[in-house]
Amino acid sequence: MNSHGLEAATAAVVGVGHTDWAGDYRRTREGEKPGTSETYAARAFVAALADAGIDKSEVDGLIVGPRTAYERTAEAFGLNPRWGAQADAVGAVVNAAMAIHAGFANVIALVYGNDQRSAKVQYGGPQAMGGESYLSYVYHSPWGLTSQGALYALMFQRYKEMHGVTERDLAEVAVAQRLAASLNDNAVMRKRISVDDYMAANYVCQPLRLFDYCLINDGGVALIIASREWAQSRARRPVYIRGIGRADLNEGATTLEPRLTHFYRPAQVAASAASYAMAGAGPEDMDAVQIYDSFSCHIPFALEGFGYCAIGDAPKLMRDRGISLGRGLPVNTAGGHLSETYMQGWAHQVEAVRQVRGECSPRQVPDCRHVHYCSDVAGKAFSIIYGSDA
Amino acid sequence: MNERIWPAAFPKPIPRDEDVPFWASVAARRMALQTCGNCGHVRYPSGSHCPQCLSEEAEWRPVSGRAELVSWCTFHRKYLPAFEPPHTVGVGRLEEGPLFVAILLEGHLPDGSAGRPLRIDYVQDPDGTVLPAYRLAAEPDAGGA
Repeated sequence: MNSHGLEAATAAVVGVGHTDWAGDYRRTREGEKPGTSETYAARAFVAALADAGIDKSEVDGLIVGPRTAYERTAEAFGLNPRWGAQADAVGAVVNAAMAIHAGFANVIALVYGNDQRSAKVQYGGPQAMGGESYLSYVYHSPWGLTSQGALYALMFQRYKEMHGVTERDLAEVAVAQRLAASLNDNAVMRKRISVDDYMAANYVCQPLRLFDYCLINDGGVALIIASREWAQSRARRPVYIRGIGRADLNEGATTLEPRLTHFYRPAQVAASAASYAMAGAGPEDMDAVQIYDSFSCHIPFALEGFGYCAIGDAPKLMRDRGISLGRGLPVNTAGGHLSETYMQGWAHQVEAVRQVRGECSPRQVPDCRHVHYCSDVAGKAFSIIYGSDA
Repeated sequence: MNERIWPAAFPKPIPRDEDVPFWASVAARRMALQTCGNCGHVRYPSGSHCPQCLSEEAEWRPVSGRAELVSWCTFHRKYLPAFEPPHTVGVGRLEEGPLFVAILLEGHLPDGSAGRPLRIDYVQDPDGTVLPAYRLAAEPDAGGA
């Protein structure tokens, strides 16, 4: 029984595009400024239109990411859509599916650009990015608890205390995702690492080390999402949005209660249950999983909360079943935020689509019919299931 | 209780109107939190309404200063001038209920330290700003100060 009114495959991703993450990373490291957030969003939009095989005149909805203004982005693209919004990655996908379901639009462009590296965006300190929305990001700065990494370090330490997990167990995430990135021409970091390399790296905020942290790089991503009818008649390789779920854990957010007491699990469980019900599928049907990974420990927490193993068993799953390409449950098959590109969840949607299309050689997951996207940024859990069937 | 002096100025608290009584209680070294006048729920951070029952009735009551260690992390990079690495921050469960973040004066602790009893102490920076901070309490917790 579905918990909401959306039906599987009401909408489909019919085009994806992005900027040259690896090239732009090199350029920014050399002091160049390859573009503004608006530039990257526009380049990704152009690429997604080409991938969808459509002209911008067919776009009747626009959803922009958090780093570009809605009106200016629409103006820059010369668009007067009949549906518009601003949202983060997964919020944008959900918003697009709902708008299409409700008949507000038929072909929606979702665009994201972020010049965070060249603009030196701060993710820690009293003026940290996001502090106006999430009080926990800045509230404890008098005591020196400022960075996102520290919040996840606290979570992982608590997880260690509860389940006897080791830092070597966590190394599997960074090693597996770097392996995937080594097979991805678009990835920023492609040199493979071993568990020993991981352990030899310095702590940034103990118990998390360098390779547990996401990259900071410039770039853009765009998706074109259309109705099932449009996708069936016009798209070359539509990838359907088969399941959507969302649930929050906000009580005690500033003092980190949802993280340290609940690991966001009640929200993850509710969001994934709604998406599985909508898709008529379960975790056993997923061929790959894309997980929002600003830090490596997102992966074990999500594997437990989104239904892949029991509480405290994620390290065992990572060790015995495996999360790298070629093993039982491939996770973040392009390298994720840790090794491919930090597009705040947007690039994970692109990878999910490409895996279902089957165009990811040499990192293609065989017979890939379903890809699950899981995110739980600040306790807002989202679960999206992409699939090949209309 | 020994007066503890921090060598560099703390980052100043972010200014929320609701926090003013909290910081005044900290400056007086008698940290207080709001207790709901209707249902008795103790809340932090402060706010005009009880998040449990939405009552506006509330009383500021000093905390006992007793807490239990839930988690901690140690910064090995310098992000803020006030905090030379390694700098350790702990999260404790206050006896009154809420989680509370503060500097852990003992520094990094070994795995298996969760559950150890903590006490709220106070540290002062060169500007005179006072912060609550945790120190480990002797085990077993004898209570009192």
